Amino acid sequence: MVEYGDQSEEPFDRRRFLQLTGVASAVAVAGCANLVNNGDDENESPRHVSHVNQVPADIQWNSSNPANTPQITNRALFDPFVKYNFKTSEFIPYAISEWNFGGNTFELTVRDGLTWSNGDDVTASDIATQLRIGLYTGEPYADFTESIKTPDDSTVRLQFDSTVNEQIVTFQILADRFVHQKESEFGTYLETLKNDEQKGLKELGDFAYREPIASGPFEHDSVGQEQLRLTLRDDHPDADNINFDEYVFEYRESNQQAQQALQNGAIDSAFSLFVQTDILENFPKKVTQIQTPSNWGYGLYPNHSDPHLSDRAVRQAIQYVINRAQVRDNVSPDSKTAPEYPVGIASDNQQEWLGDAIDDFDTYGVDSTATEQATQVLEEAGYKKQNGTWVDSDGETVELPIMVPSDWSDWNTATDTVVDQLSQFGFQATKETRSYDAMLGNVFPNGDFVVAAAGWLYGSPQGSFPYFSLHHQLVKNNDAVTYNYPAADGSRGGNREDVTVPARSGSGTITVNPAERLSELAGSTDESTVNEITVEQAWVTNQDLPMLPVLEKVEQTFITGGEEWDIPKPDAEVAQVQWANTWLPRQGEMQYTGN
Amino acid sequence: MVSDGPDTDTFTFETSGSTVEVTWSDRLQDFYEEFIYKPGLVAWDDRRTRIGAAIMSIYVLMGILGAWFYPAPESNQVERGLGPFETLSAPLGSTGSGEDVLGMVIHATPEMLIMVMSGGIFATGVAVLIGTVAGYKGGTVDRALTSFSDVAMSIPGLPLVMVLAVVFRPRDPVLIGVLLTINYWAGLGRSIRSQVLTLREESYVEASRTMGVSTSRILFKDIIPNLMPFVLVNFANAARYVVFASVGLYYLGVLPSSVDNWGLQLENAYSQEGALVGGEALYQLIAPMIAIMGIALGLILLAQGLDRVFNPRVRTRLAGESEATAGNEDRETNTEVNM
Repeated sequence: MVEYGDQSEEPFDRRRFLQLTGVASAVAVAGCANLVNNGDDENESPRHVSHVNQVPADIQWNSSNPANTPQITNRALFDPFVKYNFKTSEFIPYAISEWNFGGNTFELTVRDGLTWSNGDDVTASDIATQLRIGLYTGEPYADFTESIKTPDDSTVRLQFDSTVNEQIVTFQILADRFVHQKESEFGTYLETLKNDEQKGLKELGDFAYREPIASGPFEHDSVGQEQLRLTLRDDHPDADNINFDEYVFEYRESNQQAQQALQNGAIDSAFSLFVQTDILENFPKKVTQIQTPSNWGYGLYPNHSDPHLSDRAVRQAIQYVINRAQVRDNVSPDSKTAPEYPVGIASDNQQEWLGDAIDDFDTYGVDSTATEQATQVLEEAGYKKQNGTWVDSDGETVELPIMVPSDWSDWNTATDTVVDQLSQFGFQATKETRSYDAMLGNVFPNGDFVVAAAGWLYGSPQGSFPYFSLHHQLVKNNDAVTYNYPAADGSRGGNREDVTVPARSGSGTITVNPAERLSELAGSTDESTVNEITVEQAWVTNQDLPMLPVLEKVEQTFITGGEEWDIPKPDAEVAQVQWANTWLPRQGEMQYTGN
Repeated sequence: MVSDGPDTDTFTFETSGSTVEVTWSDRLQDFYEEFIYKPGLVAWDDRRTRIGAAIMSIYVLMGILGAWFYPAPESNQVERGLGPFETLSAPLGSTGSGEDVLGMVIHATPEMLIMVMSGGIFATGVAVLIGTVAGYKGGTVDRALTSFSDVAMSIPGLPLVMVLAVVFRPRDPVLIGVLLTINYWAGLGRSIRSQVLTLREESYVEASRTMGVSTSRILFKDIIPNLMPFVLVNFANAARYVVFASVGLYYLGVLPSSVDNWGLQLENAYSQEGALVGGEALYQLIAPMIAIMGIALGLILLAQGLDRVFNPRVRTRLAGESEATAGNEDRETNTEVNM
């Protein structure tokens, strides 16, 4: 069983720090950029200023309401169940201090001493409330969870209707989940859901949680168009690790504005901010970049209802033509990687899971435009080149408009390169842009695209376990894109059909049903079965290419150190948790030094 | 002043005992003298016209010959991130994707020029049509057309264009030009109507009307030619508006990115290359900015130079018909410049 890792360390005493530094040091640091004047008495207190790319006044903290949900601010306001460390590949207990897996049960223990910002204790009943709400709102664990009970004030027990895979349960219930739906605030919605599910979903989905009761070390103080101000809660178990009183999120609309703010010291940190290599080189030395895997990245979703893209040969030809290394170098070699094998498994985990079988898999040319193979596969499928352009047997041109979010600069660069590579080969490729909101709102759900740029992996931390990304590619992607892949779920435009691909070794073909096989994997505790299905389904993704992998992202988080902030080295184990600028303070690893 | 009948090659106009026979070639000669040579002479005398015309010639050459001979930009055609003047293969440097910056500027020119022409022609064409018909016909027609212009004028231009651009996502530069000037013509139409209101009282228009010449002929032969200088000036201004509007909307990402445009180049330099952070890629912003400023300057100078044509006193003197305006040589009239 897992121990609560940092309790043995002596926590930093905030009060002692204040005693030592006293008023004199407060005056001494008065010139610092990130000090705030708290009113008439001219008391000045240290604060950390971070970046948010949403208008703060628009943010609401009800995760069951899809509109304006927070992207980073929730991580200071609410405690995570656990955190995943990318260096050790282990979960770190936090608000859930222990968990026990029993094949068809999963028991969680709530951390001792955890309170809400209104003074109430965080109880098992609060945790159960939000997990029960998840049963109605379509959380993945709803597929196998029979009941959720609270044997005592600090224990939550989930009972499953069958045996399930431990890794899948652990990732689905613990990862990326926060203590944020207090029973007193959300219990009423749960009651409505029990009585009338449709009405409950409507009411819950409409509820904008504007003044949240926090479970994290900071609580909601004030909010405006440009700034969200959170203040430290003295009664949080980790409050003594934090020696600054305010955590402020300032609005910067674009990447470039956030980059400028980091460069000129207007903000102290930024999470998941794409920064190109040459800009990075111009950042002040005190700005530290922390890189973590994202298990996510730029890929292309072919619309399988398109007359050409429904042909596997065209998908394979596109994958052959795209020179992934060149796309990576054009975008930013420091923050992007080119996956070695186009499969539904993140690069870091491909060798581990595919083992010796990996040699059977096709790379489609990671650092080349494999025109010969592309030509061969197209000609075998009846395509021919006419006046330099590929046409099908009816003379119809292969048109490939690639839709990309207009506001994602790195993806635009990648798409420009891909379009050029495909055009040079003879496809009629173009770039089309839409705002990401428009893509989420109309383009994705309606399948209103020929090729759409979207994430080809599930994302962190679930992306570390192959099941999630294979499921994402083959059955039900978490971008809710109707890509009409026949093997996919009905909600994604498919019919959960069988797929026939060439056999992995030797001649002939194999026919499998990805939806059934992955369901089998999810219910298996046998390691060899899990491995066998993983390799088999990875092979299906490699041969049938339901999505086309192009790049993987390396997450970039920036924290200003120097004389103002004492922070660990970027490769320190404690920093390999997302997102470092909200995790390090809890660990006493991001200290305001006041110089 | 002459006017011809519908069924004859010649026309005889009798005045106090004298007879003048005007042939087709005479009329062509007159037209050339009146509407091309003299205005041209007046315009060319102004150095702003000469410079403006020279600048515009450069763009036309760049759009025709440059785009024909200079390699089209594409990723990885040259080394990534080259600075300006480092190598002849990319004289103005390259982007982070290895695209030649000069190639991007040159290959955006043809579509910019087509856009500018179509926008200018549409705006001035509609304005002339509505303004002249409204001004000449008067009465109900005038009231209807004026009300229509008022409605068009009262719709805020930029939001309207943005909505239309998002809905239709036009790719054809001709359509984009038209879209950008979708209600730009309204103000110009009102000015032209005012001009026509004075012209329609002129004796030669009165004479044509008395002789039963059709309205369309009067408009095309008597009124519109007299408006041409004014129309030309406004054509240049409308063209400049199209340049700025298209650049702005491409920069904002409202127009589709599949069309080459300097605005798109600016947007790429800003968002993809981080040209404003650190300054390393600033040259990628400067190149399209110079192209935009150059064409705007060319059009402004051309418009201001042509504006002189509109001043009858200067025009007459420069055309060698009168010495009455000596001493006013340095007098210049300026078109209002709307940046």
